Amino acid sequence: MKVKVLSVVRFSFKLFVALISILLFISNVEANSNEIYIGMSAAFKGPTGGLGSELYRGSMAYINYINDNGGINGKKIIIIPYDDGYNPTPAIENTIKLIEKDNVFLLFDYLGTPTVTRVLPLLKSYSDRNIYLFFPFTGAEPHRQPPYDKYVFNFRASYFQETEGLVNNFVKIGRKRIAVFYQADAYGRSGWNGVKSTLAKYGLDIVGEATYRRGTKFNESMKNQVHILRKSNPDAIISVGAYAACAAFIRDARDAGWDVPIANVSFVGSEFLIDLLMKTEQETGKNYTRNLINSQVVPSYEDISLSAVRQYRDMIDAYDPIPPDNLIDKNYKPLRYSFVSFEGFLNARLLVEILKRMGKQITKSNIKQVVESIKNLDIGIDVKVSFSPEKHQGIDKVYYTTVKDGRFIPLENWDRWKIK
Amino acid sequence: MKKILIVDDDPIIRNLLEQILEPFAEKDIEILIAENGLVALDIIKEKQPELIFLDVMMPKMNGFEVCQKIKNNPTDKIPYIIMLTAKGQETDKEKAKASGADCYITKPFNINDLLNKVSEILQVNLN
Amino acid sequence: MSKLFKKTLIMIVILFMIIAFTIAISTGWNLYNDLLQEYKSKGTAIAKSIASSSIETLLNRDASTIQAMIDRFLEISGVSYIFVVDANGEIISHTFVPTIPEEISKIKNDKPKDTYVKEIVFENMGIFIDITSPILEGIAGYVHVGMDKSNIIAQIKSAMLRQLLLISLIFIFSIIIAYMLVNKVSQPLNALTDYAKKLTLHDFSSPVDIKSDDEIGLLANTMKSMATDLHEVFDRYEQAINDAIVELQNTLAYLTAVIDNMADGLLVTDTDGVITHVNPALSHMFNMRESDFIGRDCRSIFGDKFAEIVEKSITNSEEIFTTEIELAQKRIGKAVATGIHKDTIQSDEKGIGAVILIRDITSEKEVDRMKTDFISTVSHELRTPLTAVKGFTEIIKKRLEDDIFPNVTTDNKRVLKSILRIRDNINIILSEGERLTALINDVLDISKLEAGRIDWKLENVRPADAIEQAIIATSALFEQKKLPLIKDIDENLPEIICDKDRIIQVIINLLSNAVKFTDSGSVTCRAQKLEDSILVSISDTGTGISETEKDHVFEKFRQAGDTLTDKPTGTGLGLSICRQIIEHYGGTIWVESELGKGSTFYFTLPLKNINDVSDISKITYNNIEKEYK
Repeated sequence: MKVKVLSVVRFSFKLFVALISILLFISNVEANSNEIYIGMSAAFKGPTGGLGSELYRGSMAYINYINDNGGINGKKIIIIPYDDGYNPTPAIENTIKLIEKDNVFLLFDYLGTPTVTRVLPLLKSYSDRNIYLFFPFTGAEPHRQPPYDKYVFNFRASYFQETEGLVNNFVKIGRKRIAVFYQADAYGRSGWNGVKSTLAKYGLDIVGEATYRRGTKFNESMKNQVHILRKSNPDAIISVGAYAACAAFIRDARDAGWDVPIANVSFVGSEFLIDLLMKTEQETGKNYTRNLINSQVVPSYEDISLSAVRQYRDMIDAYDPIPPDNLIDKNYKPLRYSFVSFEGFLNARLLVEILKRMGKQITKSNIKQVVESIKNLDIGIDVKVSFSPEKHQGIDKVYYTTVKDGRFIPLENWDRWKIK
Repeated sequence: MKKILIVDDDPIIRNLLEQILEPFAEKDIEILIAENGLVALDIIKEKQPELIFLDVMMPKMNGFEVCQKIKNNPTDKIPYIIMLTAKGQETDKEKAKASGADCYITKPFNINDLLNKVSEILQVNLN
Repeated sequence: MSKLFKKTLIMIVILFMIIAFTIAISTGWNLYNDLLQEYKSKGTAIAKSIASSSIETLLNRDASTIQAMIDRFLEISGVSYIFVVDANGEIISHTFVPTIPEEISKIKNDKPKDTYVKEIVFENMGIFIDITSPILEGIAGYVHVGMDKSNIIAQIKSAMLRQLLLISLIFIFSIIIAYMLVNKVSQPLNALTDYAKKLTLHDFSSPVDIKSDDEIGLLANTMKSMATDLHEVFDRYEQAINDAIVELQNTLAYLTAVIDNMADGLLVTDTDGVITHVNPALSHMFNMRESDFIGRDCRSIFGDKFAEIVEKSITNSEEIFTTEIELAQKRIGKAVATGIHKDTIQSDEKGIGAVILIRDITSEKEVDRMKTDFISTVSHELRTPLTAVKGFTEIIKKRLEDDIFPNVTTDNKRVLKSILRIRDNINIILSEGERLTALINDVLDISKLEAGRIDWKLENVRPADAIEQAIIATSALFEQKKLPLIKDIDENLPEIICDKDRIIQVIINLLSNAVKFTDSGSVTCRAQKLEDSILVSISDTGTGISETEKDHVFEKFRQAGDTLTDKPTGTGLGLSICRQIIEHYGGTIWVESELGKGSTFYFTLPLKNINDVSDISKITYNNIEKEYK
C-alpha cells in the first residue's frame, strides 16, 4: 500500500513539474522573462546596405536608451537583425526564421517595397499567431491597402503622398511636364503610380519614364535613361529609386548638361545620395547638387525645436550604435545624423510607446488593439501619431528638403524653380 | 775512142774489173780508174766515158750520190751507169734506179754476163 | 597507327559527323519546338496566373502590388518582360528597363478574348513570344507576358553544344577503344610486317615477341622459324659471298697488280674506240697522265693507224691486229689489238671493246736495225772478197785456158797431169766459189726472211709464166744430167697474188733438187687449179726420202743423205726458204716420197680476190715498215 501511494505521489510530482514547464514555456512564447525579441530583416549589405544599417542605428539608439532605463517593465528589447540585401527571397527566409526559430514577438524596421511586399502573404499565413510588421521603411501601397494592411502598422507617409506632394508643388510652380525615373519594381511602381494619379487630377500625364534595375551601382551608366527622359522634354524629374542609381542618374544628367530639377523621395537615402554626388564633385569639379529636391517622411534632424530631434541627437551621439559585425558592410560608414536613422529612431520611440501601453500583458494578441487605439500621440515631432482599425499609418506629413552646402536643408519656397 | 770508167774504193775489185775488162782494152777501149767519187766526177768531166762501173759502198761520197751528180750535170755524152754492190736489197735497187743508175749488179757477179752486158752497151763484139 | 585503322577512321569520322550533325539538328529542332511550346505554355500559365490573381488589385488600381506580383514572375527563366494594361488601355505595371519599347505600343491594346500567343520583334532586343491574357474577361485589363525567344535559341545552342560534346566524348572514347582493339590486332601484324621487312633486308636481329594464342601467334611462330632458317641460309651465303668477294678482291688485286706492274702498256677501249682503262706502264710510255687518256677517243691520241687496228679488232673479235706506234721520247712501241671476245663477256653486243697491248720495241727495233745493218755489212763484207776470189779465179782460168795451156807443148806426162790437175783444181775453186756464193745468198735470204726484212711484193702472177721462167733458168741443169722435164700444166690457171721472183725462186729450187737427186728417169712438173688454190707439184724418180727424213726435210741446213759418206751438194737452206715463201703467201708445202722410187714436192698457193688483200697482212710487220719510215 505504501508503495502504491509513493508511486502515485511520484507520478503526480512529475506531472506537476511537466505542467509547470509547459506553462512556463508557453509564457516564454509570449515574452521571455527579461527580453522582448523583435525581428528585423533589412538590407545591411549591398547598394542599399546603408539604409538598413542607418535604420537599425537609429532604432538602436533609442532602444539602448530604453534598455538602460529599465526596459519595458524590466524587459529589455532585443532586435534580432538579418540581412536580406534588399531581395525578396532572403526577406522571406529571414522572416520565417524569425518567426519559427527566433520566436520574435513582432517584426520591425523592415526595409524596402519588394521585400516587404513579398513578406505580406507570409504575415497572412501567420495571422493566427498574431505576427505583425511594424513601421517598415517603405511607403508602398500593398501594406497600406487590403488585404495586407491588417498585418502591418506603418509610421511614415506613403510614396503616394510623397509623390503627390512633389507633383502638386511642381505643378504649382508651372512645371507641368513631369517625367519619372524609377526603380523597376514595386517600389518604383508605387512612386510612378503616385505621380501618375496625382497628375491625372490635373488632367495631365507623365511625359516620359525610364527605369533601372534594382541593385544598380553608382558606377553604372544611366546615360540611356537620361537620354530617354530628355527626349520627352520634361521640366521636372521625379526620381523614385535608391541612392546609388539616383546619384548615378543625377551625375549623368548633369554631365549631359541637363539642369532640370530632380526630386527624390525619402527612400532614396538622402545623405548617401549627397555623399556620392559630393565625391564625384571632388573628382570632376562639377556641381551635382544643384536643383535637387528631396521629399522626406520625417522632419529634418536639424530642426532642434523638436524634442524628438534633440533626443535623437543626444542619444545617437551617446550610443553611436552600429550594426553587429556580421551585418556590417565594409563600405558602410555610419552617418552621424541621417533622415533614415532619425526615422529608425522615431520608429523605435513609437514602438516603445506601444509596448509600454501593453502594460503587464505583453502578448501578441494585444498588439492590434493597443496600436489601433493610439490617437494623437506626441512622440516629439511636429505632427501627432494616430492609428485606427482602418488606418494603419501613423502620420501623413511629407517634408521637403533641398541641398545647400552639401547638406539637405528644409525647403519652404519652391519659387526658385518657378516657370513663368 | 770509147771509155769505160771504174769507180771503186777497193783496189782488189778495181784490179779484178780491170782484168775482166782486158778484152775490151784490146779492142781499143780505154779503161779509166777512179778510187772515189770526187775523182770520178773529175774524170767524167774530162774524159766523158760511155760506161761507168759505179760501186755503191764508198767513203766520202757513196755511189748513189755520185750517180745523182752525174745525172744532174749532164755532159755531151750521157754515160751508162752500172752500179755494183754487195747489197742485194730491193730497196737498194730502187734507190739505184731513183738516183739514175741504168743497171744494178750484185756481187759476186757472173763474168760472162758482165762481158755480154758491156758488149751490148758499147756495141763492141769480143769474139 | 595501323593502316587498317586509318582507312576505317576516316569513314568512321564521316559517319560520326553525319550522325552527330543529324542528331544535333533533330535535337535542336525538337528542343526548339519543345522549348517554344514550353515557353508558350509557361508564358501562358504565368499570364493566366497573373490574370487571375490581379483582378482585385487591378480594380483597385494598385499598381505597386501588381508590380510586386509581376516582378516575382520575372524571376522565372525565359520570362523577359511582363506588363499589365488596365481597362483604359494604359500600362499600369511593367518590367521594362530602361523604358517601354516602342513596339509595345502596337500590342498593348490587343484585346483577345482568350490567351493569345504571338511573336513580336523589338529592335535592338530580339524576338519575343508575347502571351496576352485577359484579366476578368478583359474588363479589368490585360496582362502581357514576354518570353525571350533568344533564350530558347541560347538554350538550344547550349543543349546542342552539350550534346555534341557528349557525343564527341563518347565518340573519342569509342575511337580509343576501337583503336586499342584494332591495335591489339594490328600491332602484332605491324610487328610481323616490320619483322618481314627486316627479313627482306636480311636483318635478323630483334625477333618478334608475339605469344598470342591465335592465328597471329601462329603466324609469328612460323615467321620466326622461317627467319631462323633464312638466317642460316643467308649466313652461309653471306659467308660464301664474302669468301667469293675476298677471292675476287684478291684476284682483282692480283690482276690489278699484274696490269699495273706490267712492263708493257695496256689500253682498253669501248666499242667506239673511247679509252676506258690504261695501266701505269702505258701512261709512262706516252709520258702522259692516266686522266689524259680516259674518255678520249684513241684516234685523237694515237693516230689513224692505231684507231684502224682498234676498229678492226672490234669488228673481227677473233683476230689480232697490230701496228707500230711512236712513244714518248722517240721510242717505238708495237701495239697489238684484240677485240674483247663476246664469249668471254656476257653481253648482247658483238664485243664490248678492245684490249691493246703496247710493247716498247725500241730495243728490238734497235736489234733489228743492227741485224739489218749486220746483214748489210756481212753481205757486203763477204761478197766483196768472194767477188774477188771468183773473179780472179775465172780470170786465171781464162788466162790459163786461153793463153797458157795452149802454149804448153810438152809430152811431159807430169806437166800434162799438172795441167789437168790445175784445170780441175781451178774448176773446183770456181764451183766451191759458186757454192759459197749460193750459201751466202741463202743465208742472207733466210735471215732476211726470218727477220722479216723482206719486201714482199704483191703482184698478179700467172702461174704458167712463173713455171716457164723457172724451167728456163734450170734448163742447163737438166741438159747437164740429160734428164727430161715433163710439163703438165693446166690451161687457164687463174692468177695468184704473190712476188713473182720469189715464186720462181721456189720452183727453181724444187726443180734443182729434183734434178740433183735424180740420176735416171724424169722430172715432172704439174700445175692444177683446186677449189680455192693452185697446186704445183714437182716429181722426180730419184733417190727418194726416208720416212724419218721427210719430217725434217724443210729444216735449215738439212741435206739429203746427211751422212759422212755423201758429199754435201747444196746449202741445206733451199727448202727452208721455199717454206718461208710459200707459207708467207698463205700456201702450204709438203713432200711425198718413197725411198728409192722418187719424191714429189707439192705446194699450194691460195687463190684470193683482190679485195681480200687484208688477209695477207695478218701477221706481218712489213706494211708498217713503210709508215715507220
